[in-house]
Amino acid sequence: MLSRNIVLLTLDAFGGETTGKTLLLKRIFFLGEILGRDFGYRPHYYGPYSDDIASDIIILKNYGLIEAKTHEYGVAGKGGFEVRRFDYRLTEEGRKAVQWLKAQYPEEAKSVEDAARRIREAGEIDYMDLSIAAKAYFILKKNQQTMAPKQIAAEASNFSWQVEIPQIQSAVRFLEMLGMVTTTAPF
Amino acid sequence: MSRNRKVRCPIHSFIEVQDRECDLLDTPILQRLRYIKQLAMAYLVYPGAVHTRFDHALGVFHVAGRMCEVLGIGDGYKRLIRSAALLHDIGHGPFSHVSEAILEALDQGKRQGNCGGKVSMHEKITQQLILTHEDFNDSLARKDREQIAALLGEGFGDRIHHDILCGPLDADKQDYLLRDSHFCGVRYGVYDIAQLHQTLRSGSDGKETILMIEEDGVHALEQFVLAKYYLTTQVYRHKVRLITDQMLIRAIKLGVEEDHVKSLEELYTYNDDDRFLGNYLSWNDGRLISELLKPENEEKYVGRLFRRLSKRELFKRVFTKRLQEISESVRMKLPERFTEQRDSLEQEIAAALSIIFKSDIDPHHVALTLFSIDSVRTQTKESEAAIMVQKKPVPVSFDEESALFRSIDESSKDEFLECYAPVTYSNTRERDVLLQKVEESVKQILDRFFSSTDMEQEENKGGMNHVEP
Repeated sequence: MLSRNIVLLTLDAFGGETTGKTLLLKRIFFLGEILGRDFGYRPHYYGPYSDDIASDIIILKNYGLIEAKTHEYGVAGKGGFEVRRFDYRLTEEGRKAVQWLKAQYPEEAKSVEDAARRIREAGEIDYMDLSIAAKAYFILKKNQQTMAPKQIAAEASNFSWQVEIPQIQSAVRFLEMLGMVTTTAPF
Repeated sequence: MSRNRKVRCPIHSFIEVQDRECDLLDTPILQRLRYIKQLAMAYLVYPGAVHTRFDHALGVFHVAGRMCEVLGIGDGYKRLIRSAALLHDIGHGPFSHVSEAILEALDQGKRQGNCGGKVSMHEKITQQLILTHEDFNDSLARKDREQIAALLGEGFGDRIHHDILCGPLDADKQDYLLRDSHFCGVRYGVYDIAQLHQTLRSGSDGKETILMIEEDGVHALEQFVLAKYYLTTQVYRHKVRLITDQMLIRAIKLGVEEDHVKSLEELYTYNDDDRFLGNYLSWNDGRLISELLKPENEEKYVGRLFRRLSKRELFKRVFTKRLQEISESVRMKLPERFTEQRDSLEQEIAAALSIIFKSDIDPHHVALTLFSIDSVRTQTKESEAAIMVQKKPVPVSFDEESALFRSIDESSKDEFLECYAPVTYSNTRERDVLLQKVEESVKQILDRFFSSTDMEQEENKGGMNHVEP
């Protein structure tokens, strides 16, 4: 299935709308990890980011399958997070498209729903925490070894990502709930 | 004794090659690139576009070295980066991206990488050759090979080293924009490389060194981004160039899949072994042309189609539409099902064309293609936006700093569906009338394929087109 249609199914699985582009991109990051699909995420100044998914969002918007609402918030904070927030929701056409996808590709649609449920059940965290969890997971996966929060934070700075140790600890709890990491000793 | 050489280059004047770099340059693997054209058969559109991968490799080598000097990269890394630049395209096959398209179509396996998320087939082969090929035994130590391969892959050392070779402002793009413009005889790809280099800076984010530009470089970078956009729309996506590429790809694919030409099967069936690589390296544009024009291939699909191409009897574009101009359900379903439905669609369109043009059109000679062009704003958002502009108190992204790019609407990404076929018409009036009929017919076919339910679609598959000649 094309990644743009995974975006549609993901939006549907999270109630048909999402608050902020970062939240959507990071949810799809974790979804890709759970499904074992390569959505082209790579280290970006703001965390793991996929040009492919960002491009998919533009196409879906152009085709009237999703609509975006923009909220302006002014200058960026120290962490470099969104100054403008893009909220996305499925349009009527988008909902029809989701129904078609579910009918034509029932297994893939179900795997997206299952993965989304896993993400939801791991904790209803906001875009900033999800972003930090994505960064922490990206680093752990890249290093393929057991790491302490302090080491993860140090490694994060190599990608120009500013994250604090308590934020890492919180992110790791989410990743543990998601079954994507295990901890060998309490923090 | 110094073994420095100075090579004349129409883009960068003199390119200086030093000591052991001369050994690399003289390897058969590098020399092979002299016989692979940078832009495949684009010379059928732009007669001057006969430059080769070898010219480009030298250009990237020079630009990467210049960037290292401006950015104050030490001699050790500079040597590795220049070598990596020289070797970055050695994995290309005949007609460059044409071979890439065929290899990837016949081998679905792509691997995760850092250059844009996925590693292309030629990048994969390049890595293999750098790490293992005996041509480099005398010129590169084992450690050098590993470090060069890493530089072209995930990176080695500071992030800035990787940025020089593989990033939004890499030496590759800096060279090919100027070179392709020059040889095509267009001015779309021209930008102020000297000013851009003047303003390149290695900035620290506190922990790591990254590529930045000074505020004074923002306008040169805007020019670079526009050059990339215009060259994409005016040269790389030129109508006739797309047709020649599609005809070449189609000819070779038919040669493999229908004619079963053994030499083509061996060339385009990727295997991760020395036998495949040894054979692959023995091919270049000239050898492939000779193979396709061999008398024994004359009556085969591959021979017939390639002869057409070599005589410049090109297919015509019989249909072109932005997906946004096609009905909602088609535009949503077609991209998802394009690969699996393309053969059936081409058969239906061939039948319709046969009626409209009153001649037998072979479905194998109908090429349907789906491609996209990002708006300049989207292109920027996805690449140059990552470049940081050195400002006080903190660096800001180029996307935020450039007034020009902030003002452009990002939502104009276009996807196109086009169809090429061997049709003829005697004048433009006749052409317009016939192509109008083709457009209506193709829209009907698309609607039948994608708007109906699956059950109706099965019934429709064998149906004739209701086209009035």
